[in-house]
Amino acid sequence: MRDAQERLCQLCARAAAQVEEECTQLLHSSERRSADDLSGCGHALVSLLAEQASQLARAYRTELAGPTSEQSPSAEHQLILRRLDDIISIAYAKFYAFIFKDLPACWRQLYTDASILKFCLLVYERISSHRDRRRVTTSDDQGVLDKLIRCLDLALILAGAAGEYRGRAWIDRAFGLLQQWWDAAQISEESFDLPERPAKRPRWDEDTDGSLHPQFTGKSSFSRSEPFTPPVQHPIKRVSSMSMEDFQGHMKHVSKAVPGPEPVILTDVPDDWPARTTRPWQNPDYLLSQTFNGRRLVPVEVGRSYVDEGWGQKLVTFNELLESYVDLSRPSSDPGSTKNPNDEPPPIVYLAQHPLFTQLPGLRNDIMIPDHCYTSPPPHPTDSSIDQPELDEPLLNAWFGPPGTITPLHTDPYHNLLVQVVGRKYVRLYSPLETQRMQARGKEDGVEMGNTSLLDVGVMEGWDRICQDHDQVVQDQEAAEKMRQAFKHVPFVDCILEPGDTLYIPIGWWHYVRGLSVSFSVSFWWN
Amino acid sequence: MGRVDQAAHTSTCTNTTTPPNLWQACSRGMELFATGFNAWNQLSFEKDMESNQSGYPADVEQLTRILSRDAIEHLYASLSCTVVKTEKGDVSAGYPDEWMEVEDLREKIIFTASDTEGYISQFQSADHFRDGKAQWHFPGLRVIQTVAYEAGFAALTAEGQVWTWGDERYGACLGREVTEDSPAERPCRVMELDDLPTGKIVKIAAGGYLLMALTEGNDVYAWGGHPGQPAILEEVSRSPAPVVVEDSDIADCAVGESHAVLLTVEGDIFAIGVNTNGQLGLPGETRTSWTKLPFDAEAGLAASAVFCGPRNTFVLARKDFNAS
Repeated sequence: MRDAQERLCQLCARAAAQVEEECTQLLHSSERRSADDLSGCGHALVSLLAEQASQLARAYRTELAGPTSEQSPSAEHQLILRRLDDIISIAYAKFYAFIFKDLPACWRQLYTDASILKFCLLVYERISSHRDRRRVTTSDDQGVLDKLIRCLDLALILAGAAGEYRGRAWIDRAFGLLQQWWDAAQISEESFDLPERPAKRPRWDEDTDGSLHPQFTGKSSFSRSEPFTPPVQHPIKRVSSMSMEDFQGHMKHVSKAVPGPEPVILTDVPDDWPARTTRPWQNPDYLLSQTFNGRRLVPVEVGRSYVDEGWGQKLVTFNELLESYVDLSRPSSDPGSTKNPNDEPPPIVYLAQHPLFTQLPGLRNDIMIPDHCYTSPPPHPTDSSIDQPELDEPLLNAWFGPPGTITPLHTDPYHNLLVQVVGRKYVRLYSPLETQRMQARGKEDGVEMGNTSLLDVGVMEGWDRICQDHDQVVQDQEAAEKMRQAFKHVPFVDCILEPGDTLYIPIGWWHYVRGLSVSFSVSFWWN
Repeated sequence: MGRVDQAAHTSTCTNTTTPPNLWQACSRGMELFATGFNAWNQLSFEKDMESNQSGYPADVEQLTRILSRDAIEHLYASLSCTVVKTEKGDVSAGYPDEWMEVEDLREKIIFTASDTEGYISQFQSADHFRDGKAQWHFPGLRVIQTVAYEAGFAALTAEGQVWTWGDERYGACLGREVTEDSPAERPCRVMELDDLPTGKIVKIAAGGYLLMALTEGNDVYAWGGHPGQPAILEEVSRSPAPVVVEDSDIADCAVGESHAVLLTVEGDIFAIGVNTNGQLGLPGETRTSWTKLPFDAEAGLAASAVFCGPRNTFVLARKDFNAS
């Protein structure tokens, strides 16, 4: 307990001193503003950040010098917190004002550094209030951990934890120490006073590398129920134990019918992944153990499909995602929130296209980048303007949600391996030759939507009710019927991915993806 | 595009001329009141302004007198600094922003140039302005006022026309449909603000994702909005709509990053929006309906104009001849 606390204290003390020093240097530098470091935010904000860092650094120096030293009054802390929140919200406003790819890195770093300082302030307050017992009240302590986690997760998710000297590495380290501190506090009397999940504690066993890991071989697992299963009409070829040479050959193969490689299902890629064996993603308790008992935040899409009216994004705790949206059969950890069976069903919520594995490095260790992603694939078969600069590393994204999630018909600018880890998904693909018939959207309200089709596979096939957005697109019934008929004759291939299946989606292929059960997939983009 | 970065700081059109003389001295004895964000002491013109013990300035949470002069003519308030022109020259408070550091721009921003060059020029940053590298020039308008919101600009002409341009993703702020003939990124007229029942537009105000226009006949129209975020004004949309506050005639309006302020012809001040930094001058949190501010100026003083910085509010008061 003391050890973890001490190390966390030192980490925070160093960060505060470092931010102060960097800002002071920038303020005295005669160089022009650069959008790549904090100077791009302007001297006023750099100096305001420096002031807060300086006060925090001083507080930590006193703290580390000895526990009997005098503490700074809490009114000062309130003002530091106010200013850090001000800086965070000023930086955050820029995230909207710019298109994200044009957002100067300085604003992401400002957000990240202010969040790191806020975390340091909250840690300091927790430590000093617990030492001086007279100041402790339950309400002070309630939710402190949630605040600490939220503050860093926002920096990871919203700001991409930018910054050369702290950034993601610092936040990962802080999460590690926070977990140790918290685990230790669970055992000691200095509890965080937070209600624990009623989840059965796992058995702890020695792992192959000698470290202790809880064993998650119990029966707890996600529901396999499938409210709706679409028919597979033109099955994609399934192949087991395809060699790398054969896969490379497959990608080079060009048939007369289709330019470029064709989709194929590989049946044995993740067989030896911990995610499918010793660290089973199928087991909700394991996922909770990797997300600070479900306290970590994740971004989710709310609504049936990202082209629907009323679709939005929000941040939820992993626990909330599991209990309220993904697996409704799970018992709630919050005794106050008893589920009423007469309640409206919750909206479809989907953790989609999120780089979860940079946010939660623990889960990254449960999967392996398939060797296939290190082959050199062909360029886009029909439109070289879509090809992207070569990636250093494949881009990994997580896709986790309840039955009924939909990714509308679209294309991506990379080759894609979609690995199905938990549950089943339906996927339909149209070749790049059909691009003309896919009715790509254009720019919508200033947002480029050209990679997404106007066609809604679920609606065309009669699996889903016509949504509002679709009503607007299809002006009248006659036109709708005409569209349906034309669409009917566009050739496609489709499949249902079983757990352990990997679908290769070549660049340029239009794809529609539909979760059938609770489903967790990982996509690997490469070029 | 750095348009937005620029917008966040200030509008930078080069032919800004004097807006309606709401700020001009018309009597001896004017007082400036302010409330809100004060991280850089931008509300402290006088040395004796209160600050906390450590010397770091706290926000001001109610309208407080910050300056008394014979005449206070014009005000510029950015995130970190405030500059006003008085009979004895300009006085400033807070931390000068990068726009203030550009000498000839400073003149234009604060004191308004009298020689209009007849065109609007857009620059990506203060550095670009310094280097004379405009993104584009737009000729042919007799512009009397320009304002910036978070993702674009609006300009008011002598004839009372309002022209807007900015980021298409926030099309509601343009107050017009975006078409091939009326593109988002170039100045185009807001036709719905022509031929209003109470006369032409005489002043515009903007901040965050909200814009306002004041008519000759003391009506205020508002438009804008940020999809996915709570609106400051209920039901604000792409189409400019009248703002109704207790059926009062409106003398002045101002818009901050997430709040707005109105002054009625009776001299009452109403505020709406978020209050994180005390910008409403009211106790408590966000107001979702127009709320009257307590304003206890000395007898004989009446509020004559309102202005918003991104996170603060200013009220100018002058000797009220009617009352005396």
